[in-house]
Amino acid sequence: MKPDLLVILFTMTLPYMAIANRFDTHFRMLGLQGLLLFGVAFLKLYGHVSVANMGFILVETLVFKAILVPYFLFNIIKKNKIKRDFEVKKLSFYVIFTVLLIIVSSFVFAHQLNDKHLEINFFTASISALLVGVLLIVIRKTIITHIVGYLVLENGIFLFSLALGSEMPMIVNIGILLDLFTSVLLLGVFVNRINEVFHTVEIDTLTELKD
Amino acid sequence: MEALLIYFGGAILIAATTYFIHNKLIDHLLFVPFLLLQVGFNAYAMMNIGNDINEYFRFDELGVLFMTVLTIISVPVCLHSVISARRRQENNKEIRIHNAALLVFITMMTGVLISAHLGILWAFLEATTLSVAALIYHERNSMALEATWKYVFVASIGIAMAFLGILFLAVASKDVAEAHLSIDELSRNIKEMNPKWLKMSFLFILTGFSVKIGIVPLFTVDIDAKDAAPSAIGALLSGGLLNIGFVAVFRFYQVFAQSDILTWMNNVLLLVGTTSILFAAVYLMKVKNYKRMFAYSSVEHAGIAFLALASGGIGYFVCIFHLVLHSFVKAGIFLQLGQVQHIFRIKNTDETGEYMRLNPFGAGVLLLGFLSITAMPPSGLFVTEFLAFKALFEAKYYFIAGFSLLLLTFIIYGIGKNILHLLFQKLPAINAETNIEIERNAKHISPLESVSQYILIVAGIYLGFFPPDILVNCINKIVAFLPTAVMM
Repeated sequence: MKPDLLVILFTMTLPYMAIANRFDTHFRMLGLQGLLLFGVAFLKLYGHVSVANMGFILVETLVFKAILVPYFLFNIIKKNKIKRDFEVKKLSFYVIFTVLLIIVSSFVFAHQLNDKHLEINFFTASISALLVGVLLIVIRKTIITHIVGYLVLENGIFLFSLALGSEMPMIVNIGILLDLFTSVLLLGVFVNRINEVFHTVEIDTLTELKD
Repeated sequence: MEALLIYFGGAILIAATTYFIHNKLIDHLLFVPFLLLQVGFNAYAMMNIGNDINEYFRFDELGVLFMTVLTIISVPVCLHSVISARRRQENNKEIRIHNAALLVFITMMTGVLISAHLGILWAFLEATTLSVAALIYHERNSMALEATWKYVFVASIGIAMAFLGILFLAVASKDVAEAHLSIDELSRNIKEMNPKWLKMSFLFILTGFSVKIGIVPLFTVDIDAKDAAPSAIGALLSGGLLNIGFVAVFRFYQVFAQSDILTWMNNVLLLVGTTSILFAAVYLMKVKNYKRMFAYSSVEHAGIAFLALASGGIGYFVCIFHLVLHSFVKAGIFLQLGQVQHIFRIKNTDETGEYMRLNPFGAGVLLLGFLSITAMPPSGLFVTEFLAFKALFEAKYYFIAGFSLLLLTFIIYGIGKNILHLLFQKLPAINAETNIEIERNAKHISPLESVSQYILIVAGIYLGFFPPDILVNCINKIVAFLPTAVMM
């Protein structure tokens, strides 16, 4: 079985995430993306890498991406008693339009590259995820959505590394390193701390440093 | 291989010991074995230039040159960390986290310099982010938290971008032979790779690593970091991490320069260099905070180095030489700013003054540093900037050269205005108590503290005019493989 269907499903989560304004929707979608990546990793790499490495990759996608990270994020919003990102409604139309534009242009771009080794689905999905992640970071105002945006971006890059994984298993491991490292750094250390000091998760309050 | 194990194992062991021992004196004393280890490893690397250790690590001229710069700067940085911790009467927890993070930071930067595999290089560069985060957060106030959050978040995006760049390179290499990311392997096959992939790869890598270098596009968080972090760390960020980021980009540049995208790549670097200088000039015109001011000056100097790199010819040599000299001068200045900050407790130059009277030895460092960093004639940077513009004119980039020269005059004005205010202006009479406190703080400073800073800045001047043969030969060897390189 080829993993393309899962990759397409992954792409379909992107427009949904871009317009959702409840945090729990975002976190569930992140969990779903983790599951999809688990499936892709399994179908793509099984038989190409050593059993131990395979186990490591599967644990990373299933346990870390699909369960631990969303669980941790749910905890944060429960502790801070926040539910949604305001000021989103009025943007919805433009946002969904932009996301679709992103997906279509990534697809066209992948075709333009016309490379015999390029798997177009993987490329489209990961570039779209990268850009949608950046879009979430740019248009939203809470730190939590920024982190969600970053995680989407990272999922996109991880997906792309899976496309290369059968020939270069090392690159997938480096990708996992990136994932564990920055997620722990961003989530574990700072979100709680920022709320303690600034009593808010709005990015607009972080303006002390300027010229 | 054994040397690597001893170095990394020893460094991590010392850092861990620092973290777990709850004794201020021992935590400070542990700098000594670490620095000995660092110097020893550096000497070993110098003796083994050209020897491959294994597939992933190598000692080459580029790495060893900047490792030496890093080692030299690390000594006063550690010394001033101790001085500042004692003066601020920091508690044990602050000290051991700071010192352990500092040791890990230096070790990871050394790791970047000896990597011969682009994946490993990226991983070490990523590891610097974690240790830097702990260092920026050192003062534990809301400003430090804000700077840390911004740095970590943007650096994470940068790291991810750079990783994507490496993935694109892997795709390109897949077309030709078995996918591989070691520098030698890539250089051998680069001519046959698809230039579209290489271009995308270079763009993403440059963007990603720009956080570390502190150039356009992602330089803003770097400025915040240098502002909020303790001055000694600012010295290491400007004099150390900037070079490390540059080396990372340069490794890719060296590989890609053998392919057809060289001209395109140079145009990108010209754009990045010019806009960096432009942003630095614009901000320097209005900036009042002296730490941010010198942080923007680092943006400017990195921009000049990139312009030199892009113009080729003599420019290759100049860009590396310029960064070496800049490291010494900028580290000296940042270490001195620690004393300034201790005396005034305020970073806005408008509320400072009379530094020449309050701390004449330190003021000498600032004055000399100001002349050096703005590349006025006794400065070594004058020589390199002069040659950099010569390279630009030789490559027929008249407009960019003229525009950048114009911007440099603005930069000199911006820095000069603040520094002269700080040194000679009468202290503003806001209230008598503050001024009494300032006088009292000034008495804490011993002239001996400025000695290391004088050494660094004078080294920057001396090396510019009388570069030793070993340095010149070393840089010549680094640039020898680049097309159109001209030796000194």
